[in-house]
Order: sequence, then structure tokens, then C-alpha cells
Amino acid sequence: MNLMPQPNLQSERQRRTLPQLLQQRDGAMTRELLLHPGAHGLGMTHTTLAADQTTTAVCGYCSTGCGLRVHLRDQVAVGLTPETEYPVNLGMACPKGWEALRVLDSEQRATVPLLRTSDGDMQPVTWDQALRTFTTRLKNIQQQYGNDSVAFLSTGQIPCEEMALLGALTKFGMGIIHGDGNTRQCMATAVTAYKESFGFDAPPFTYDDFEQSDCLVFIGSNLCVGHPIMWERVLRNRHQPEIIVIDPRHTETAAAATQHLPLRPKSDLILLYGITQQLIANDWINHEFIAQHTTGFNELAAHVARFTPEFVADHTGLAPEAIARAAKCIGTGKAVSLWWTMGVNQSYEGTRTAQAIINIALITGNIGRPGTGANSVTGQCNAMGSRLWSNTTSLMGHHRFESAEDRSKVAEALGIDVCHIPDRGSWSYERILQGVRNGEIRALWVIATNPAHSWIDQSEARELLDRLDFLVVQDMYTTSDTARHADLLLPAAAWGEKEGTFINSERRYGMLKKVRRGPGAALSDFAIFRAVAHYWGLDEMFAAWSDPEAVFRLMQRLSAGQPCDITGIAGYEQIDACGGIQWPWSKGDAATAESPPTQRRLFADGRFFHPDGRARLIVADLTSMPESPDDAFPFTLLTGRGSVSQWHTQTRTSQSPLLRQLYPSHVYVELHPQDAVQIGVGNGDWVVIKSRRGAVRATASVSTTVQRGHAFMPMHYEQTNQLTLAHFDPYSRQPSYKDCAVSISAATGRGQSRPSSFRLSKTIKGDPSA
Amino acid sequence: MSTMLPIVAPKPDFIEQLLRDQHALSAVERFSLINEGRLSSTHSDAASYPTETSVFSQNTVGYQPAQSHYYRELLPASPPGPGQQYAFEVNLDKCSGCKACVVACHTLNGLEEDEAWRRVGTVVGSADQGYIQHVTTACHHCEDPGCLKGCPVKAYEKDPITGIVRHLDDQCIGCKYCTMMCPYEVPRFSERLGIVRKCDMCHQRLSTGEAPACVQACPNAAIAITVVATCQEKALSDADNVSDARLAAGAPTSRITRPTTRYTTKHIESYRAAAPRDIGLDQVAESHWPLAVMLVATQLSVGIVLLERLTTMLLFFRGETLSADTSRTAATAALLLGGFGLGLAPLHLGQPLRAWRAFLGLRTSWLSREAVLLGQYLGLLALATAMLWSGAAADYLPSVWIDALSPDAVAIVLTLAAGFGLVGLYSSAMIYIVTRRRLWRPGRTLPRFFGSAAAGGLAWAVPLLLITPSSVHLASAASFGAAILLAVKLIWECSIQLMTHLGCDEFDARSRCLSLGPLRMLTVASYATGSVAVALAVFAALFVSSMPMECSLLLGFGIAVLASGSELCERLLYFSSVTYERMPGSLR
Repeated sequence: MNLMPQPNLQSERQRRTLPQLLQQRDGAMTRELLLHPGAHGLGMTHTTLAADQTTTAVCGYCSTGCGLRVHLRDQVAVGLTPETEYPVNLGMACPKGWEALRVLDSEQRATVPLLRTSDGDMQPVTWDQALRTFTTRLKNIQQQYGNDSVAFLSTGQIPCEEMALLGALTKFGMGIIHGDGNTRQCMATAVTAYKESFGFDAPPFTYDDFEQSDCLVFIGSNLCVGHPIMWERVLRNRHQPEIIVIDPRHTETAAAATQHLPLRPKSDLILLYGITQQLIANDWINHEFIAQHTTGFNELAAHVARFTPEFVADHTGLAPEAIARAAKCIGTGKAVSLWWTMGVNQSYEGTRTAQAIINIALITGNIGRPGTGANSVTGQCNAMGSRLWSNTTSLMGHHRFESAEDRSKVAEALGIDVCHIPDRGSWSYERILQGVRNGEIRALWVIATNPAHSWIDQSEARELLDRLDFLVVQDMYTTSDTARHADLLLPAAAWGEKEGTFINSERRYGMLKKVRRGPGAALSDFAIFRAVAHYWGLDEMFAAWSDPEAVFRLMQRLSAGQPCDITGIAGYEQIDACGGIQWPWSKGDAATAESPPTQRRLFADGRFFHPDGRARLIVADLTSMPESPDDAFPFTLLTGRGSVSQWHTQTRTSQSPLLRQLYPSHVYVELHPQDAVQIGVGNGDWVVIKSRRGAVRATASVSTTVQRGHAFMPMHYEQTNQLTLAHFDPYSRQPSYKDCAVSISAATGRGQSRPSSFRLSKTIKGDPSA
Repeated sequence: MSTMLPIVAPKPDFIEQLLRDQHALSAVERFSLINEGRLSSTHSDAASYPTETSVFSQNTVGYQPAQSHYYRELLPASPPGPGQQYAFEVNLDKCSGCKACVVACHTLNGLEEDEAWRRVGTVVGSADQGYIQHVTTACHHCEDPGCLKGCPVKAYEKDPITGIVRHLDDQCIGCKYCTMMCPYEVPRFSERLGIVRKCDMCHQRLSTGEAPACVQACPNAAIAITVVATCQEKALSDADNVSDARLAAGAPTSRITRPTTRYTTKHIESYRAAAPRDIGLDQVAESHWPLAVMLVATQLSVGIVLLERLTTMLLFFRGETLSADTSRTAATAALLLGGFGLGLAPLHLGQPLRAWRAFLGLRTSWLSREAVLLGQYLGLLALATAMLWSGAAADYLPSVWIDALSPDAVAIVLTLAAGFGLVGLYSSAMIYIVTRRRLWRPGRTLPRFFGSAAAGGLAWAVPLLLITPSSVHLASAASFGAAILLAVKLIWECSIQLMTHLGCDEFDARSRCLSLGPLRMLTVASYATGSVAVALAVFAALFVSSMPMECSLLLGFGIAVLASGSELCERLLYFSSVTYERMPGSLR
């Protein structure tokens, strides 16, 4: 296909051109932008992207797990483009993925270990000094205060193999009991809900379900911004699906929905019970499935009976008809899928809300078939890996610390003495910080996460970090908010500079590849853990943990017989060649097929992972918002993702000059136009937002994306968590970031950017130049 | 601390080994070989993983990039015919605002670190209706491109067949005039290169049948290339509908350049009623200080020459003559000021060495016209000045030259210079008027530019006249005139800038936010210098005839310098406080 005219048609073009002396049609600047036909299936390619080889690596930001085609010259990554055929992203990527290599080339990369001197400066030291200090200080603290006085906080951003090594090293080797991950901040609720309902932490879906549903329900999920490449799959759905969005905000996803239910914040559990009531009252339920595969239906029916549309309307601010209409779509749809993200997970009653979603899928029989499921969309690239392999809440491979049988199984698989395996699980993140407050935790090892920015009620978190006897931060940058509190900073190699596997939202193991060398003396987290093991004197215990793939083999051994069995995977090469492999893929599965099918979902047979094979229908009484708005703090502060180009605390995304241009440089707060008028501010004016924890300044973004009485602030700016209220889901211990009371007023004095404001209500009318 | 030192004996080369491993990239080989095999064996067949995705592998003819099966339907079946051209078509309902198009444009075209030829803005519901829509925008490859019309060196061309508006990077002189002429802020200046660059619809890709970067990279297939009919082909009645069209809320009317991009949405009413997310958020615009200095200096220069001519004429009718000394002083001062201004102008160019081609755009570009006309003006003025000085240096010059210097010849050259200056000054004003920016309309630009010439010319006349003792009475009159004109201009500026009056529109209000906000020092300086100049001029008008020469000269130059300063501040504000209609943006 040639979309340019044929040469004989170009005479007119030539007739019009001036001689080169007068009109320079070619030259150095023109050639700078010249494209050349690319090899390896690439199209026209600029020199900067020209490759002699390409390889595919899974992206290291969110849980979508996109395949990125890394362009290599002399084995070094020079650029990347989205992998055309990777079954997750089908040739697309979001801005973060496109810029994944750029953030590695930063002046702020940590290149040598840094140790805080007695006068408070961070001084470069050798790895030998750093590791000697590490072991000496931690062993001393353990000796003085007990082994469990040292804890670690890890992440969903490092590969499974590193998580497993960290978990084993700390808990089996160093005698540490308490360690948690930042996955507590994003996925704990889904884990708890799935475990209780299905008997195993098992998100049942595959991305193909986005394309197969005729009704998709999104609860507390702004997929367009949080997971834009999953949204790609929704738009590829050819069944003209009904898209129901349950969200207090008028998000991009809500704008694209066929039904938007803009409920009051944290009234989702009431709404879901109301929908359940409608499903039962109208008999839009699958009796056979309920009878054969679930327990607890009678209790569920009794519990939701009072949640009539009128009752629910009163509590959610929605019209009864809207609730009934949504329920009807869910009840009568052929393939209904329900998806939730942080709006549910980061909630003080999130576990029960997630289970209310699961209940709806179960009683309508919308599970195990294409286009169905109660589906938790995960946050981080390896949150799913953390759930299986971090050895924090559960014993690695999703076993139980409390079970003697599980402990011996793991000990055997790893070839260690069972006495090294603690018989109790870890404290949660929040309990660890409480331990710091109580003096129970004296030293903390923070790996690839940023609590000084991301933890709820941040000022307290910062104070607690400073209270520690010894804080080790292991990060790729020296400038993260948490690194500034560190006593010892260990420079880590990053995504693209090491090998391993991530598990994405749909349970797909994908390969992470080493395509860059890493700056200075930075070492992969894997190598740092091995070095710690060596200096700690644990060489023997970790002899088998020599490289990531060796650890993957250990993981396979540990997964045997579990629902997450991966014993059938031949190795890294097979994962790479298949475009990722979803768990489970057992030896038995492998015997039946040459390679695993690309899209696999769970529960096709209706058998769940409880011993009786039945899923549980779980309900609970409502709890109320602990800090509802009042006269002094009349606004409900909602938080969430602000833009696709920002990731979490911006540690990485702020390193790309291009990404920085794609989002506001300063924190902003979204306000309803009428509230803005009442406060007396216009679009772009500075406002002061106060909660009982703190006060921050932000620019007002006046728009109808929020309702009256609500304010929205993106989580990516450090100011936001100075306001949030530390409260938690009682089952998952996940922080509830999205509800606290604040007051908002016009800022005065310094920082006032403009003398008079231009109100949003004053829209441009007519043509001023006419 | 060391009392509890644990017993560890690390191997000395343990860390070295880890670092060596970290710096070895051998691990990648086994994977890349697999990929290379997969990709190279399936060049035309597109790479595929073992299962399912093979539904996409339907390419049969010739070499097709792997990505082509996603964008095939986003390209037109054939090239445009007569009366047609290529255009972007954006399905807003599919755009989720992820901005992958922006990053893909940057990456696939090998642009600078923070450069992208596509941008994404946002509009939101302004009333009670919840509404949000992101608007992706690049060059609109207009039917009547402003950039092309304004370019003084023909660094733009519109392909007669595809309609793609291309920028010739090696021809560009970096004058940035296209950044003012394009109503959509498409051409962006690069400090590194000293030129602007802009979207070329990836014509290199289109020429091989490949989709532009943004089209390839949109996860939701929201951007397509289509073939559209150009306006000339449409019925005239159709054009009426087009006349009021805008690409988005807050965007300029499409009448100016007739952009070809089409935005489609099912929610057209909401889209029209929405407000840009950056409404009321104007950034201080570039001050273009070399331009401001050039404009004010050339205007003062032309003003002086015009005054000299006018005075000579008036005196002639009264049977008097202006002293030759005064004429010579005036011409010399005008030459110095004009030369200074035009000499400074190249500082505004990113590629001054290419500027000699500035005449190429004479047919369409007011900038070309200004350059040529003011060049002529300065040349004639230089000639006239030389002629005027020749009398003084007669002893050292050939007699042929001296003989040719009749007073009439001098008068003709000087009058010609004044004429060119006047038309040049008009061209200067037209440069900004034709941008169709509301705040640069004729009623705002012409009074300023000609006002500077008149008031500034009079202010400079004061000291110039005082140099020749015989012209003191004229200096007094000039001073009086300068005081009145400067005061009128100041009051006029003040009424626009500071006061809310009936003629004040939205752009004035937005501009005021800038001139009273971040630019308030400049505003204060403008009024302060202007007011003092007026006061001194009044004083001079009354008392200059009774002052000693040194004092009056000092006073005269004081008036001239302060008036010039005030005009310069006014001109810097003219550029930096300008607000205009634009495509929706976002918070910064």
C-alpha cells in the first residue's frame, strides 16, 4: 500500500520548488529526522531506535504487564516500542511504558552505597563497608532487642525471585519475623476477600474477558487512567457491552460508560447489597450454580432483603431507577464481569465490599465462563508475585506459617531445617509502624518503596522513620522521599538492569530482562540480597539461590500441588517464547498440551479451593465512615490516580522530561464549580486544604468531575497524604485512603499566582473577533 | 558497636564478582535469539506467539511492519485526488486521554528530550453536567496555513497533492513568526537547533504505506488518517457553516486557517458547552525583546525623520527654512536609532546566517515586507545623512560628489526615506495584525506603533532641536507636543490595562491578569517612565527657552530617554501579556 502519489503525479510538486541555494530542502537538520526501513518487523525507524536485535520484556510499572520490545544495539537497550504480538497489550503501551528506559538515565540514580555520618551527611562507602555496617548494626540490634526488632518493608515492584530471596533470607536466615510490602497499600483487600470466598487468593480472569463480556461493571476503578491498556481491551469488545461504572467521580471511565452511578463516597457496599437484593427479588440468579457451588446463600438473601432500591437510594444519593436498571443489566446479561480496583481495596470495609462483588458473580453464575468473573484489577507490576512469593503474610508459595505441615513442605522443598521457618506470620505494615512507635521495632529495611510519601497520614510515618535506630533504604534513586531519612542507602539496579519474572493481574508470569548494565556500583536487588546473605554468614543456606532462574526452579518446586502450581513451565525460555504463562500450569497440564493456551481463566468446573470445593457467600453489617464531613471540615477528600503518565510517588516517572510535561508539576485539587464559587476561588487559584492532620496548598482545578462537597487530590504528590486519615480495613489491614474530611479555603499571601481569578462559569461565548 | 561484631569472613572478591555479573549482558542473548528468530522468519507474516494471536497474521503481500494489522483500517484506501487532501480524524469517544500518542510521536520520530508534535488537552463540563473529554491535537495541516503565509523565507510548503504542510528545517531562520501565525501553537522553537519544528504527518511513514506514529500507538484506535475534500471544492453555502466552526472549546475560529482535522463525538453538545481545563490560566508569553527594541527604535527613527520633513515643509510654506544643522542632527540621530534597532533584530533569529533569504516571502509575508522596506529606509537614510554631512566635510571629498549635492537632492532622498519608513512601519504593524490575535487587532496595534513614532519622535526632537541654538523655540513646541501625545497614549494604555470599561473583553481581562500579576513590574515601569517623561516635557515646554544650554540639553535627553523607555516597556507588554484563543490545555 503506497499512500503517496506516484512519481508521474509529482511534476506539479517539482514545478513549484525553488533551487536548493534559495530553498534548502535538505541538510543536516533535515537529515536529523530521517527515517529508515527497520529490520525485525519494525516499520520506518529513526536512528535512535535502530536495532540489531530485539527482545521482549514485561513493563515494570503497573499490573497490566505489557510486553515491551526492547531495541538492542550490541546487547544494550537503546530504545523500546510496545511488542506487537504480546497477548497482553497487543502492540500498545501507555506513556510510562514508552519511557521506561529514559528513567534509568538519571543524575539522581544511586551509584554507590551511602552511609550517614555522625554529622548527618550521607557519605559514599564501599559495598564492603556498607554490608559490614548493615550486618553489624542489625545483628547488634537483634542481640539487644530480639530478632523481631528488625523488620522490612518491601514492594510489588521487584521480580518474584527477588521477593522470594528476600523473604527467605530475612525470615529463614536472619531470624526476622515481621516484614510487609507496599502491596498492603493496594492489594491486601483483594487477597483477603478471595482467600475467604474462594479458598485461595485467585483472581479468576484473563484479559480476554474484557472482550467477551456483554456487561462490564467497574467498581472504584478508573481503568482509563489506572490501566489504560486494559481499557484498550474493553474498547475491543465487539458485543456492544453495557458498561456500568460505580464511582463518586465523573472519571474518564465514567464518561465512557453506558451507565454511571455517581454514588456517595464509601456507599458502595450498600449499593452492591442493593443490587444483590434486586437480583434475588427478581430471580435473576442461577439457582443451580448456587446450590452446587456455594454456601451461605440463605444468610446472604436474608442479609440483603432490607436493601431495597429506595433504602439504597437514600444512602447512596442515587435514583432508585438507576439502581434497578443496573441490577437488571447484571441480572439479565449473558456474560457479566465485575471489576474492581482501589476504590474498593483502599476502604475501611473493602474486604466485605469485594466479597459483595464476588457474591454477585457467584449467585448469577457469572464465573468460569468467558467474559465473566469477580475480578480484582491489581496495582503494581508484581503485586501478584508479592502475594505468592514475598513470604510475608503467607509462607512462600501461598502456604501458612501456622501450619506445621506447610512448614515442613517448604523446608523440604528448600532443603533447610524446618526450625528456621517461623510459626507465625508477619505483622501488617501498619502494625510494623506501630511497633516502631512502641519501640518494638528498632531497625527497618525498606526496599523499593516510599513510605515517607505514600503512607497514610504521612507526617506520622516520617516521624516514625526518624525514630528508628537504623534505617536501611534500598532504592534506585538517592532522592526518594524515604531515601532522605536513610542511615544507609544501598544502590539498586532497576527494571531493565536485571532478570526475573513478574506476575500480572491475570496471573501471567512474564519475563523481565537485563538489557542495561546499571549505573556505577549499583547492584540488582537479587545481588544485594545475596551479598547480605554472604556477609550474614548464610552462604550454605542459600547455596541453591545462585541466580534468578535457579530461584524460579525453587518456586516451581514450592508451588507443586498448590492452586498456583507452575511445575509445568519448562523455564524462562518457555515463558519468553509463549508471551508469558498464566498460573496454574502444572506438570499434568504440560503433559496434555505442547504449550499453554494464551488465555486461561479459573473455575470453569465450578470447583473452588475450599476443601468442600464450594465458594463462600460472605456478608457483613455496614460500618460508617470514621471521619464524615462536618461544619469545620465540610468536604470529603477523595484520592486516586491523577494521570497515566504518573506512577505512584513519581520517584521514577518524574525522571523523564517528557512525562513531566504530561502532568501538572504541582499538586492540584479538583473542586465542583459551585463549591469553588462558594469558596471564592477560580480555576488555577491557590487554595489551602486542611484536615485534622495537616494543611497543604494546592491549585484549584475547577470541574464537574467531582460532585459538590467532594474534593479530589491525586496520590502522586507528597502533599496528599499529609491530609489522609490513618484507618484500615479490619480484615485486610489495608489503609482507607479515599475518605477523610477536609476544609478548603482560598489561599492568601505568598504563592498567590494571579491577582484576579477567571471563573469557570464564564465560558467563552460567540466569536470575539467577529 | 563493635563489641558485638558478628563473625563473618566475607570472601574478598565476592562483591567484585557480583559487580562483574551486574555489568555482563550475556544473559540477554538466549532471549534475543529467540525473538530474532521469531521475528525474522515472519517478516511479512507478523511475529506471533504460539496461539490465538495468529488471527492477526493475515498480511500476505509484500513487507509489512509487524504493527500494520492494527492500523490498516485507520488509513485511507488510496491517496487523495484533486480537490482532496489528507487529514487527521479523531474519534473523541475512543480517546481515554492516555497520551500514548504524544510519547509515540516523540519516540518514533527521534525528537528532543521534551519535544513532541502532538499534545493532549482536556475540556470539562462547566455547568452541572459531569463531563470530561481529552482532546489530542497536532498540526491540522490547514488548507490555508498561517505558518506558510507568514514565513519570510519559504520554509514551509503545502504539498499540492497530499496537503501535508511540511517545514523545511534547513531553510528555517528561527524567526518564530510562524509560532505567532499558527492559531494552534503548532510550530515549536528548539533552542538547540535555533529553528522551529512541527508535525509532518509522518510523511516518511505514509510514503511507505505506514501509519503515522500517533495513529500506530493509540491503544484505542482513536486517531485515523482520512482523505477530506478541500474547501474550494465545497459549495459556498457549505462554507457558511464552516465559518463559525471551532475545533474545541476556547479554540480559535476555523475561518483563519481552515484546519483539516476532524473531531467526531456522539456527545457533540457537551463537547461544545465544555470549558478548557486551563481556562483562565495564561502563561506569560515570550517578550521577544530584540523585536520590541527593534520596533521601538525603528519607530522612533521614522518618527524623527517624518518630523524633520514635516517641519521643513511647514517652515517652507511660512517662507522659513530649518537649519541644515538641525536636519543633519535629526538624520544622524534617526540613522543611529534605526541602525541600532535593525542591528539588534538578528538577535531574535535562531539562524541569523540564513536570514539573507528573507525576501523570498514578499508575496505573502508581512515580515518579508517589513525587512525589505525598513532595509530600504535605512539605506536611503544613510545616503541622506552622508549627503548632509558632506557639506561639513567638503574639503576632503571629490568635487563631483559635492557638486551633485544640491539641497533638492538631499530633500528628495530624505523624503523617499521617510516614505519607505512610513510604509515599513505599517508593515511592522501588519505582521502582528494578520495573526488575528484579538489583542493585536488594528485598533490596538496601529495606535501603538504610529503613536510610538509620533510621541517618541517628538520627544527625541526636543534634545535634537536644542543642539542647534537657533531652534529653541521649536524645541519648546516639540516638548509641548510630546507631552500631549505621550499623555494621551499613556491614558489610552491605562484605560485598556487597568480599568474595566465597556470595550474590555475576555482577552483584556486575561491579559490584565498577566500585566498586573507576573508582569506588574514592567507595567509599573511603563507608567512611571511615561509619567515622568510627560512631566518633564511640560516643564521643558514652559521653561526650556529660559534655561542654560547644558541644563536644557540634559532635560531634553532625559525626556527622550524616558519616553523611549516607556515605549519599550509598552512593547514588551504588548508581546508578553498577549492572550489569545487556543486549543484546550491542562494544568501546568
